[in-house]
Amino acid sequence: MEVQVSDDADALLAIDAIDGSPNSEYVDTSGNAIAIDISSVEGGTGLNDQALTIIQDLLKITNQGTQNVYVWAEGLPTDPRVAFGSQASSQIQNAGTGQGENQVDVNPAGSGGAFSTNSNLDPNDIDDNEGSGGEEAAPLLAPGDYVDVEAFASGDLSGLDFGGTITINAVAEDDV
Amino acid sequence: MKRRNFVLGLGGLAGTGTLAMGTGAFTSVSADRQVAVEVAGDNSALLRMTPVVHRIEGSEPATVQQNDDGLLEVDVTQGGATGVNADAVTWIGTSNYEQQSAWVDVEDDNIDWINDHTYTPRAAFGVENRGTQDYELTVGYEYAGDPGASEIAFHIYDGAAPAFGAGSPSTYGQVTAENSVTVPDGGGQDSFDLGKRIFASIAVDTTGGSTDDDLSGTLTISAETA
Repeated sequence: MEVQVSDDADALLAIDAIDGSPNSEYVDTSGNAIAIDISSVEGGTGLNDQALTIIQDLLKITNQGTQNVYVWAEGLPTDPRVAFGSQASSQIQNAGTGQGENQVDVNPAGSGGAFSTNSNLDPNDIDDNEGSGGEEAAPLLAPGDYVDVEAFASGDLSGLDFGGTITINAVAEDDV
Repeated sequence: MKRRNFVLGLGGLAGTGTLAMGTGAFTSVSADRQVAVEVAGDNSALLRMTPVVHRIEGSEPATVQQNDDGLLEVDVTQGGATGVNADAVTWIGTSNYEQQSAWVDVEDDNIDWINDHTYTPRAAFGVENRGTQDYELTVGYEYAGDPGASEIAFHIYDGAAPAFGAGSPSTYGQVTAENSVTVPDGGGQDSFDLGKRIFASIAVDTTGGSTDDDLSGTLTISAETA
């Protein structure tokens, strides 16, 4: 048995900044594992309060494995909320507005589909097959598919000072 | 009891040079990653909105300030006044923004601009692009109450000094309840590129109005990629 550990960009679940994206400034890819910092960019020190901020083209997460996987993030701050969404530029298997689908391309110019558990995603029903109606499924990635991830926040952000660990999950379609 | 040493041999990693991506089967991956994000007052946020303060005049326009939540706020009841004068035009920030005399040297304001600049106009407030790229900036206004016959207008212009030559400063028009103003992206001299500053002077026109007029409302400032 051979097991190797790879940098994020080369792993089975590739997690990387997006080439050519100005918002890659928020992503530190210098180590083995990427890190995101939206508080230390030149000039601006943080998000405007009482404003809608969307940071697109933040991450590209690619399925470099051999089977379909649902991919999502958890652990982002809820109150005040900063969430991740899936962008229309993603290549996924379940784009759409119906049950079990991810609303990634409903509004290409604006906020995309659900990607973090504090967006329109039920952490106990990641594939949205329980028919609650209000949520979406996480993006479903076939081998070679990818999801382009944006961050968004709005409304009252007073007190927001989040420094912590989020978890990016990928689970085989059949095991959700 | 004998101790046993287990030597876990790592076999030769044959063919590492040909190890193709997309050849691994996995059932699940859970990867923890660090994220830092915080909120900032308007004066230091990604889209910076700041009152313009002039040392040369000893005080800022008292009607424009950052409130306790760090939000830019215009309040004409600051300093004891209960409102602007009726049947008059009141300016917050200079009305003479196109003229040399309206500008002060860099040493005479106390705004910590990102980029070097030569002059700061005596504006009511400024908006600075502290993000990561060029944006299109749109400014609009919506009344909360009934303005009656009175009107508020935000005159929008950039920080280029008249000394820069004809066409300086660039002016973008007036924001009213009926008319929003857009500062383009695209990298031209007039565009809202990274580090660019845009200023506003406010004209409150109560000509023909009454003291019942309410000009309060919400200014919406949007910076978006086209």
